[in-house]
Amino acid sequence: MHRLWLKSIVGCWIATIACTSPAQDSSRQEKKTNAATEQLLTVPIGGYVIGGHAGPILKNPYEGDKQAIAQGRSLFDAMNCSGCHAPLGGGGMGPPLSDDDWIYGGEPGNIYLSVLQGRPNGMPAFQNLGSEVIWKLVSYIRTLNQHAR
Amino acid sequence: MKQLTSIFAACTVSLAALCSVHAAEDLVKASQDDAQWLMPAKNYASTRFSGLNQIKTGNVKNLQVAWTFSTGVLRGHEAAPLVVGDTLYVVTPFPNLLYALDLKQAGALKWTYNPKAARAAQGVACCDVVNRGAAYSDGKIIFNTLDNHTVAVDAKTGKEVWNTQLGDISRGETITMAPLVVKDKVLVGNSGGEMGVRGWLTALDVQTGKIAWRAFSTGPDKDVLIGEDFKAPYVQGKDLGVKTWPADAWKTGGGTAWGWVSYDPVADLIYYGTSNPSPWNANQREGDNRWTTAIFARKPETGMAKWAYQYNPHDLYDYDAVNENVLLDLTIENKSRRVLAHADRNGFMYILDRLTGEIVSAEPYAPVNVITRIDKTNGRPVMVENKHTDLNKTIENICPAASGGKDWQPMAFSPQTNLLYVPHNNLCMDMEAVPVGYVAGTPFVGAKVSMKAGPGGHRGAFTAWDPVLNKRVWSIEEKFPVWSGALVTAGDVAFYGTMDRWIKAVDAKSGKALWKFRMGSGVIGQPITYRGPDNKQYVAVLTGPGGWAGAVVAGNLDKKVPYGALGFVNAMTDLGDYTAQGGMLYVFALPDDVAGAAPPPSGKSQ
Repeated sequence: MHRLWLKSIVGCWIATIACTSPAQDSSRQEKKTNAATEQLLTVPIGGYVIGGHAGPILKNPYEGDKQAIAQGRSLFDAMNCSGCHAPLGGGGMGPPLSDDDWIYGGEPGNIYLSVLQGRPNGMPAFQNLGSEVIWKLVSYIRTLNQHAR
Repeated sequence: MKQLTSIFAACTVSLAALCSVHAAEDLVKASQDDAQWLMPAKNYASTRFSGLNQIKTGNVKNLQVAWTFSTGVLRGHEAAPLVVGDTLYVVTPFPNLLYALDLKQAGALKWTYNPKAARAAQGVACCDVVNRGAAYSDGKIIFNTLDNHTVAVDAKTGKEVWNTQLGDISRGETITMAPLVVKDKVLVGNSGGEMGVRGWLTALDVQTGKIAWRAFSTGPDKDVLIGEDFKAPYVQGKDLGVKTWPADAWKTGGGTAWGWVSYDPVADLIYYGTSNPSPWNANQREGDNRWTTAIFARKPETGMAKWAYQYNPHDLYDYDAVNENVLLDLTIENKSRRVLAHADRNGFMYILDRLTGEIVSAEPYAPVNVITRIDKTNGRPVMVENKHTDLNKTIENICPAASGGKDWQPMAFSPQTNLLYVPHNNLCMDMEAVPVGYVAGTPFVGAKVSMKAGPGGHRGAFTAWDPVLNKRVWSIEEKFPVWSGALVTAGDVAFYGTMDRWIKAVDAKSGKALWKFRMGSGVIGQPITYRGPDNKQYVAVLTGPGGWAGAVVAGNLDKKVPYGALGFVNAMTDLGDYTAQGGMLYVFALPDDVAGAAPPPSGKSQ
């Protein structure tokens, strides 16, 4: 009962953070994130690409969007990202996100995929968040190396 | 009749099982053999005292490296090596490799056992991917893996005898503790107080690995294995593991048993502590939150609880009670008392009557400003009101920090000096409670913490403590938390390691520095000593910084931002200036002319 209650709290939290915009905005946003998400298959994780990278470098549809960054920050706590990677992303159970070292790549597409798919040394796969939520998380995570320097 | 037949069948078929009971009982005797080191704490009383005296105050300055062995693992090495016969065993942090090294051939590798632990387990281990050691019984080396398996490995061949899964990483469970074997039971507790795990201690059959009983720390009495024989010294009532929580919060309430188990063969009771309640944010769990931050005394056969005592009701500061219980028979105020000594995370050294759980005395051994004293009439700490944590409010300068006056790092006791040797911390913290929701398999903490050095500016100490008077005798300040175990010997030498790469030997009476050696990396392991096949005394210890205190180095964390590693990074930003990662076993001995040992039986040894 209590656990269900907490789960629904978390659920509502995500819903309010991610879906505050009016309906028409929402469908426009969906198109925007879908377009970006389609290119994810070509995001390289290795350090170099044989024959050169085929497609354009994938951009976060919310890159630099202040509102999305703020929502991403709330999501970072709501999904307990801050539990493993620490508030401000200094790291703990999970590696730091605030430095310039990225084990699985620091480009927006790399971070997106790490959240969605998980990574073998302990990063769980967050498969039910939806692309909009993940892109907003990516927006915030990409700002972490500017904090508290 | 049917039952009788089946018992008879079991006895005849499994003669081995019958023998094992004797073998396990013999552990009491076997652990008195100073040639060997069969369990991390040396003996059931957990004294970490060896009767060997070839290395003594007068000659320890000559100690030198006999041989070394690289574990090939970079994370925090907290384990104690074991010595059984002519073999030394080392279990590493994740991936939890077990190495067997031949003492007749200067540590030649006999075999390696790899339990193939799941890599994903690393993501749910709160405080580095440590392992605190193995236990020997009846021809088997038994240890736990980070992904919740207990495995028994044939001590001679390195072949797996049995392998039992006890927990689930998708619920946030891991196992980091060293098991203890009592009679025919292997005792194992889970980790995950930072993940909303429901804590338990489980007993497995030493022959088969089959689960015999499981005692939860929270929930109804039937789950906690509390029955008619249970008598807690300061509280009464049924199902306190449910009633002292908001509805259902005990299901995700922590109380994991990730520390040490001791055993009193006369009282036939095992003793162990439970972790912090989950989440750290105390606003989300009104009530005393029993039986977290508590000690249980249980019967090993059935797991039924005899008594329990909760050190920190409604814990505010992550003061787990898992620290070791050293069983001592002392004369206190002219009365002979069967007690246990426990240096709690809350900064107090408790001397408890180990038959009843009553407090004999409780005095601070590290700086404490959140508790004024322990009230012996009701067993509760008297809390300082203005240090009470609260939601979205930063409470500054809480001493001790979450990692405690002392954490898991076990102390030693010498019956020659009658002193405890306590490796510990000197840390304080700022703490803010923040809201957190339970998502299975992710942290359930709800706190922003940043730790710092305590009064005096040093972050650790090695302290000799009189358990009769319950007061400090001497103390050595250390730059970093002393996160290694302690060892004391009949040569009146006490050993400990430091995170800035020293192994140190001091005079057990005076604390005078006698010897130190610059190791390859920081030491958080547990030093042990044994007598080799050549009749020489050896001291063995693992290096490899990490654990919660060393997470900044072990996990390459960002030292430029606060809050990392549940706040510990803030106190350890300079650790990387003193040590890099890397696990290595070091074995020390005296040169032959100083040792004066009898020559080895055959000329081939060493």
